Amino acid sequence: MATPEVRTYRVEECVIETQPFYVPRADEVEVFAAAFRQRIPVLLKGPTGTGKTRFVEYMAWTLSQPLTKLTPQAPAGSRPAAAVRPLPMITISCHEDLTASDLVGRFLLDADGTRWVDGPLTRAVKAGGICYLDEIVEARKDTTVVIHPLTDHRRTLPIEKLGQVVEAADDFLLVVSYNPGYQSALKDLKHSTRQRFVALEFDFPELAQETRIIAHEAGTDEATAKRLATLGQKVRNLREHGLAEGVSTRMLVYAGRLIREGVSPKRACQVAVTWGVTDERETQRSIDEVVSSIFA
Amino acid sequence: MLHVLDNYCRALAGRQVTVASCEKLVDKNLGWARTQLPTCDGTTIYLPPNLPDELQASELPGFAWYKVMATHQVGQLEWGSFDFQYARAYPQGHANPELPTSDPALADYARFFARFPQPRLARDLFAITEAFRIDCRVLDNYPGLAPTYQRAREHCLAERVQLVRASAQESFVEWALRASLGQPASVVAPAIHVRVAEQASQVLAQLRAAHSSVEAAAHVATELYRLAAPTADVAAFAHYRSPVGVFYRGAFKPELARLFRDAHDSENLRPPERPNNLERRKQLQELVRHSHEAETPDSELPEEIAQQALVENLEDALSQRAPPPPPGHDSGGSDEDQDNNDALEATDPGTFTYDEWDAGRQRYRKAFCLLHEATLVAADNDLYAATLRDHAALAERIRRHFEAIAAQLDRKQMRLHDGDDLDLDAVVEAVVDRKCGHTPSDKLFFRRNKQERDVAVAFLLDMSSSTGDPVDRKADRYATGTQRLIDVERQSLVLLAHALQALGDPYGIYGFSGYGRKRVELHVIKELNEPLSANVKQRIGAIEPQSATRMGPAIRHTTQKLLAHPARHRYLFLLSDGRPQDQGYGDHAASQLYAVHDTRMALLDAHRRGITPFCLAIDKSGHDYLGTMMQDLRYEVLWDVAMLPERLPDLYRALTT
Repeated sequence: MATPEVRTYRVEECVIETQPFYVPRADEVEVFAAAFRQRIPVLLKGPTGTGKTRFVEYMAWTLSQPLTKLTPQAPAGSRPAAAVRPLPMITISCHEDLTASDLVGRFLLDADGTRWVDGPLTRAVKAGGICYLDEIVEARKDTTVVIHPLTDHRRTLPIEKLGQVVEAADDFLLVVSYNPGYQSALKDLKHSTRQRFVALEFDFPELAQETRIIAHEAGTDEATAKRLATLGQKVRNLREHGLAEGVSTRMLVYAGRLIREGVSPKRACQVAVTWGVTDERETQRSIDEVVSSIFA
Repeated sequence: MLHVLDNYCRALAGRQVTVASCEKLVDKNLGWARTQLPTCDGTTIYLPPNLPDELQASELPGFAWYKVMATHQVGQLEWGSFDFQYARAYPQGHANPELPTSDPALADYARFFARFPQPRLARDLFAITEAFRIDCRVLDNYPGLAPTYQRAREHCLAERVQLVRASAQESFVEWALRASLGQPASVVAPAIHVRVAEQASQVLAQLRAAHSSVEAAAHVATELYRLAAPTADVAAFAHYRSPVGVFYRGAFKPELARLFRDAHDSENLRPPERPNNLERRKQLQELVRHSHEAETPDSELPEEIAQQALVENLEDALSQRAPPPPPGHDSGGSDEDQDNNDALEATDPGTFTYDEWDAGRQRYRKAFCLLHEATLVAADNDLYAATLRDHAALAERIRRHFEAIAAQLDRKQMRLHDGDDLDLDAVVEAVVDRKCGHTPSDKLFFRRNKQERDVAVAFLLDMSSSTGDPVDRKADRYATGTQRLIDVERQSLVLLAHALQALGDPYGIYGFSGYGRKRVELHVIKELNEPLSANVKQRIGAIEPQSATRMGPAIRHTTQKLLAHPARHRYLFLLSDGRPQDQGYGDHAASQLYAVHDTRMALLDAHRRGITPFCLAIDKSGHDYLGTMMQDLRYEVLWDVAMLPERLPDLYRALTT
């Protein structure tokens, strides 16, 4: 009996090999590339499902291409436009219990005593590439301080327990994302942290762009994609009026994929959009009415 | 149902819009005289409170009718029925220089209608072409609704009454209206009119194009007008009667809607960009006199007086939407008392003066408010005990959560990946596990949590009269047993106070109300360092709705109290049921921004001095002003009052840990 082949990678080897699908909104690709050349850390802001993670993947791929020429003449003295090797992309999802030692590393017990094990951040700093801390505000406060020396001229990561300081690899770039939320911001990024990044704002794409994205990602026909995009726009109008967040493009893509599988559009939108965005009965009904107006 | 439609319309419109009953509009006497027709004033969609009998008998269910009505009305917003611009429709200027179309004081619609010798005919035709355009857009864009919408159109078409003794123009308008409802052109028409009818339906069909604008509808109306009245013989119109309206399309009043919407939008403009009052009055008079859009109600009064009353009502309604002229530019004397700008003096014990921020002048009014602080007289009731009894389970749950926080404070945290020292129990277990051949856990450390809570919180409670409103809006507010907003607030406070005993944080409870700037009242229910005595419990029971809401001075006073407290982390927790409101302080809707800005300044000032303000609003429309008031400060809007008892402790925990 053959065991199914499970592919595992070391984090340093996670290279984006095929071009991710990404529709640029404005000049964010050029700005990111410039920031990468100057090794300025980048902060991505925006609601969930607006393409932040996809953008980082796309940039990791783009910057790995040997012939990338994003600006025809890179100013003299700046680093080469493209990395000399495929850039690994290391994603760390932050959560409430993520401690500094989860990032940096810790001693583990071994048969012969204790053994130091690097955390993902340390590995990324050593290996280089793009290290992406997703939803940074979720992490505990002590973790955000750990990244401070990495984000300024020092470009180092101190490992207190080892008494060491690790210098970041030449092509190491820290990218963090966060979702400012629109109300009650009980969690907010400290100014001492946020003022270390150049910030790119993400918002929901325009109708035509979103149609393109849905058509591509869900593989639906143009008309269905357009209707889904329209639905997205309409539901987003309810932000601040019963909805904490607008419906993400991702949800619309899921709805599209269900439709492609033969689920009726109304039902697909109900499970992927209506029930996904809110638990409030009345708001659900309002959204259902919008769905039933748009979809036959 | 209203709420469902409200959100439905908001979603479709993509701009600020609310749904209300037609009755509200009729009550204001603004020229909308009929209760039974849906309409839109540019920011609000009014729907009839119930369906006429003949529709109740139709095959469509009631909700479907409402949805069709709402979609048509909101379609006017979505596809810009009120965005008509004369200059865009007629870039070359005016065709007939004798007509008053060039008067810049006239609004866009008035200039358009002034092009015609018979503006009423033009109006009716424009209403038809525009409604047809909206119908086409709805049918194209909402395929899901299309079958229902189409059935509604057919129903309305079938219900049209045959005209008796109609003039040629009346017949033509009626015919155009039916064509706009989808009646085929081939339907019986007198032979001589067939050619005109065919031409007209071709003209109308232009509006089916996906990008046709409101200006296109105006041009089509112009062409129809030419077909209807080839000569400018005014005498022939003397007895012209407008056609009976189509139910789902309702009353289309573009001129009024435009005025209201612009007034609403100009709230965000700076004074020089706002339309001035004289100009507006002129537009209104013109509108009332000529447009027939504003119908004077049937009454004994002579026409002129009725019209004048209408103009005044409209002005009032419009200025309620727009913000006040900043007091600095005011010619003075608009406020009730003359000594309005005098600084006050706090002479009596227990009184304090506070400055107030004047957003119009961008500076403080010195010592403008007099605040009276007094301890609330304890009530002789057992509200505290009764609440704990009635909500025993909830009280217990909240208390346990708080105990858990307290417990975390001075306990060793065991079995951690990392810590001060080895957790011996864990090490022994790990060794045993390894000898047994199991995988040992690597959580071998413990950490002493030396965190000390150093938190002081002041709760500032809105005791304005509106907190006496019943939670369930339909309930009778005077009936015994009706749950009022303040009741829920009191219960929440009791539950929180009970739970806070477990934590030991110093906290104060203050209520505020007042009437006018000279009498801002701050009721002390519990001072920051006062223990939760029987007396305090009875004071909580004495919290009752009082008069108005002047938030600024109350916040400033509480800030002072917090500043005097040595705690490292200080929080000001504002609990309110609505926007700030008091005499001369946002008392008419016009000066709401003044109150909102003053409150914001008070909160910002507290923030600058190291106090974290947090505002919890129980107000469904809270976002409209809280966004301005709080901006980057923290706040939350509670959709449902019933959530308050649970949410308040949650927020307290989230905020202070």
